[in-house]
Order: sequence, then C-alpha cells, then structure tokens
Amino acid sequence: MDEEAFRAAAKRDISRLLLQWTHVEQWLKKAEQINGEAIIPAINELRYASRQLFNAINLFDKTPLADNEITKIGRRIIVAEQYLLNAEHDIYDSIVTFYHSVIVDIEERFGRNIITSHFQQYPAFRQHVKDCEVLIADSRGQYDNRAANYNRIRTAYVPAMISLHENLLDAQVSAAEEIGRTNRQIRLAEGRASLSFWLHVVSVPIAVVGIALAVYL
Amino acid sequence: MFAKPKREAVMFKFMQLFAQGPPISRKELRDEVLERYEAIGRKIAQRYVRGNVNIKAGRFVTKRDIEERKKEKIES
Repeated sequence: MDEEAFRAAAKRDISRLLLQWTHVEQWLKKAEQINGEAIIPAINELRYASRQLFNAINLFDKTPLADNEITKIGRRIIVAEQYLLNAEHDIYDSIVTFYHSVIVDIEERFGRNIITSHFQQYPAFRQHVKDCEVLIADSRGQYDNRAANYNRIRTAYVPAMISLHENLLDAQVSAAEEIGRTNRQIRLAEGRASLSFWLHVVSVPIAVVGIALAVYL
Repeated sequence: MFAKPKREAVMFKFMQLFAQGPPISRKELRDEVLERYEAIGRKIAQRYVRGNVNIKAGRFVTKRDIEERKKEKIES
C-alpha cells in the first residue's frame, strides 16, 4: 500500500473510531443513569483509546511517513479499536449484570407471580436478560461470535430492557405497596382476634360472678 | 348504645394501635427501590475492576493477533 492509500484508509479508520468513541460515551452515560454508578473500567478503556488515537493522529501529521511510522499508526488504530470494544462490552455486561441482580432481588422479596401481576411484560423482560447472558457467555467461548453477539445485545436487547426500566420500577413499588397493605390487614385481624379473646376472658368471670350474686341474693 | 358504623370506627381506631405506623407513601417506596438499585449498582461497579491492569501488562488479544494466529494455523 502506498502512503497516499494508507493515509486515506487510516483517516477513514480514525474518523470511524472517533464516532464510535462518542457512541460508547453515550452508552456509558445511559448505563450510569440505570444503575447510578459510573462504569470505571469502561471510562479507563475510553481514556486509553483516546490516547492511542491522539498518538496516531500526531504521527499522521508528519510528511512523508517512514515505514515504521506507518506500522505504528496501524498498530495504534487496532489497539484503539480494541479498547473501544472493551469499553462497549463492559458497559453492556454491567447493564445485563445489573438487571440480573435486580431480578434476583425482586423475586426473593416479592416472588415472580406478584411482580408479573403488576408488570405483565416481566416474563419477557426476564427472558431478555437470560438471552443476553447466553450471548455474553457464547462470545467468550466463541471469540468469532463476539462482535455479532454484542451487536444483537446492543440493538435488540438492551434498548428493549431500558424501555421497560420504568415499568419494572413501578411494579416493585406496587408490589411493596400491596405487601404493606396485606401486612397491615393481617396485623388488624390479629389485633381484632386478640381483643375478642380478652373480651371473652374478662366476660366469663364477670358472668360467673353475676350468676353467683344472683343466686346468692 | 352506639350505632354500628360509629362502633366500627371506634374499633378501627383501637385496632390502629396494633398496626405499625401509617402506610408508607408511594414516593417513599420508590425511593427505597432506587436505594436498592444504587446498592446493586455499587456492587457491580466494584466487580468490574478488570481491564487496565491486564491491558497495561499487554495481556489482551487484538483482532490483529487473531488474524495472525489464524494465518499461522492455516500455514502449519
């Protein structure tokens, strides 16, 4: 490849990676909004990617380019792309892990049936999380499937899960409300039964004393 | 002595003594759920600590490495 062709290809790659960088940053913010925590490793990966891109662009400004500089630029573009992929995968992994933990938590607290009664799409939501976990595990076992699997997670599953986020939250609030109401009713019934018992306990001796007095008098 | 609804009302007030405080509002319940989300988020943030240590040590595979390994396999 001559220098001109290399420059054109490298320019395209750098532009593509800068665009990818902004997409990753956008998803990073979305992930933060979901679980309330920054995905530090993903932020670090973005930092490393930007450093690589910065160094590649610095070398790129030189004319003419020596062979070793062409190799360096090519290498930095590859490494930057890898960092961006790592950042992106960290973000999706953390979103899926977050929803997995939420599912475990709510099923333990309320049970699947109560949540489903307040959120009819809950089984579908649960299935999305399971499907993502299968795709993530597969991308580790089959490295060649990694890009395709994460593409499916990014385009199909994560947007669907995020669109149901508010419904999931509302369902938990409603389920907690229902449990609170039931508990109050149980406590009232217990109180009523207890009062009834003590009324009987008090009334029997009074009745006995009354009868005895009546007989005596 | 008392009309039935009134007696029920007195009874209810008495029974309230057995209940543990007034019902929690929907907003308070929502805040509780969000607190649980934050706690889960914190745990996950702590779990994802891989990355920079391995990358600094050069222990990661790039697309180029895979292509090179594939070539080597085909050649061998």
